[in-house]
Amino acid sequence: MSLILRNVSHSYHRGTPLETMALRDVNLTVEPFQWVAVVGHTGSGKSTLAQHLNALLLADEGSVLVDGIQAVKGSKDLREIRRRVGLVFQYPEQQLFAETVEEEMAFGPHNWGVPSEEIPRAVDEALALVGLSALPRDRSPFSLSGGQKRRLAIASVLAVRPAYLVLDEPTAGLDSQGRRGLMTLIAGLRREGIAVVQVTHDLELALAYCDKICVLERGRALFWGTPQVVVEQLLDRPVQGLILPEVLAFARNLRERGFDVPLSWDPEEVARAIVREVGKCSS
Amino acid sequence: MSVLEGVRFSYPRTDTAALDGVDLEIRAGEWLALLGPNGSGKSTLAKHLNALLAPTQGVCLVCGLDTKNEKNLYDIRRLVAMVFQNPDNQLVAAVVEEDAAFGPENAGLSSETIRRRVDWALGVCGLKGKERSPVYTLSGGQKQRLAVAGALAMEPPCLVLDEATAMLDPQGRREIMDVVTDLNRRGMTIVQITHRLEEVVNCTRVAVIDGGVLRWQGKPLDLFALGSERLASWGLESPPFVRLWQVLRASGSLSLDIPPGPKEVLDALCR
Repeated sequence: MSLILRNVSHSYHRGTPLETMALRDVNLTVEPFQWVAVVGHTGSGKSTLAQHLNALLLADEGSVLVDGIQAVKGSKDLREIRRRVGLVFQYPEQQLFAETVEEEMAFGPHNWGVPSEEIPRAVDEALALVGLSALPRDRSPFSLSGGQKRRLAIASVLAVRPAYLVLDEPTAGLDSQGRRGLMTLIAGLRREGIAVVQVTHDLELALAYCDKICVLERGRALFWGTPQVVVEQLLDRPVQGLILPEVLAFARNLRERGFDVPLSWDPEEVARAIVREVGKCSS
Repeated sequence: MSVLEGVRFSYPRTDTAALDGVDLEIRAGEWLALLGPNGSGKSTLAKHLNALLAPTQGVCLVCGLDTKNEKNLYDIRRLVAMVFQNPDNQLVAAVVEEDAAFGPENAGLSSETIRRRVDWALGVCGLKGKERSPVYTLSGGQKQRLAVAGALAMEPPCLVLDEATAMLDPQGRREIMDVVTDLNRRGMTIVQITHRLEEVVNCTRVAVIDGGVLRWQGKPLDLFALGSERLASWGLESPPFVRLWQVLRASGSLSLDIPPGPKEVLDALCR
């Protein structure tokens, strides 16, 4: 059971003078209980990759396998792939449309043919997952706060009970509390066994929360691995448009000047090491 | 420039006050950052600065003009220009220079004046060479800079940016901050609404708002020196490097007058 991209390439406007290659030979594996970040600069192919994960876009070359089902053009299996892989676009709150929370939530399961009597439970469970159980079901989605709207939009995708959840820039526009709240929410989903793929340009966020990171540059998956592994690779070779965490760059700079500090992106850890070093000098 | 005295504001059909007695002075030529978490009332306050909203109680004066008096609205909006979070909501034309010209055209200025202002505004915002480009071909950062250019073409003495960097990637954010820094150096009053502490490092003064009340005012360095916990109580989070700076400062390894930037801290440590 896993989501696998094998040597995936994708071009837009294929066969026209406008042809641009958005993904080149990308490999990626997402396993159950995993939280994977796809990180890259604007235009690196992040969103194109996200849309391959639930067969919204199909690979020109290579293959996408979801729990063993291959995404093939025209295949009936595409539907099953899209049920297993929920996709939450950027600013999902802009997609809210229904008059009540209940209707908004029931739309997905209803469309997927979940029997009517089972829908209320699916709705309850999904709202619980995003911490909105207390929300009156007859409220208009449009009367909710920005953060609540985003949670509701995510819950409406969870109501179909996907095995994988793909979120495109889920923290865009949120303040630090909102960001942390959303990260806690995703951590909760993972505990429930939902694998999460988070597309983001925020390397710092990915390092702090995710199990594995895929770094994209001009459509290529340049680096892949745990935060520690990816950081070591990034220190060796900078990636276009991707800014190293300030603390990490600072730690490297200090080491080059003879300070004994760890190559870490954790401010407290680096600060404590500096305090020790400064103490050594003065004593 | 502007003065708010005892400003209270409640949105229609709500019981809670979005602003609950705000006293604030905005001085000509300064760069004031209004800092607060989502829902703190900072955007509501921003909308008072060019009379998009008028106080339920209290007074808001822009260059001495009362925002409650409808006769003043035209003048107030020429004095204070606003740039919002989403450039797509603010851009009106299909071509870059036409969008920047929209304001001056509406104000009935001569073609030469419009040309001059548009060239100047696009230049300041780093969009020279893009005059004839369709707006849809611009990146997010470029679009937001065009929104700033459109506001600048009216040559306002004061520019209010309401979370103008929130939707941009780090590169786009930096582009906007560079433009703002430049404008402030040229003497423009800037009011910048944000929840990002890293964006207030270079401003003249910071006002922290939470729950519709001003909690703190002062210099950015003094704000950072308050420490993570105090900031967290207002719903603000220190960026990682500022946290590092705070720990070093609390341990006595750094003095307060060093800005929380990697270069300054490095220089201080290597001395």
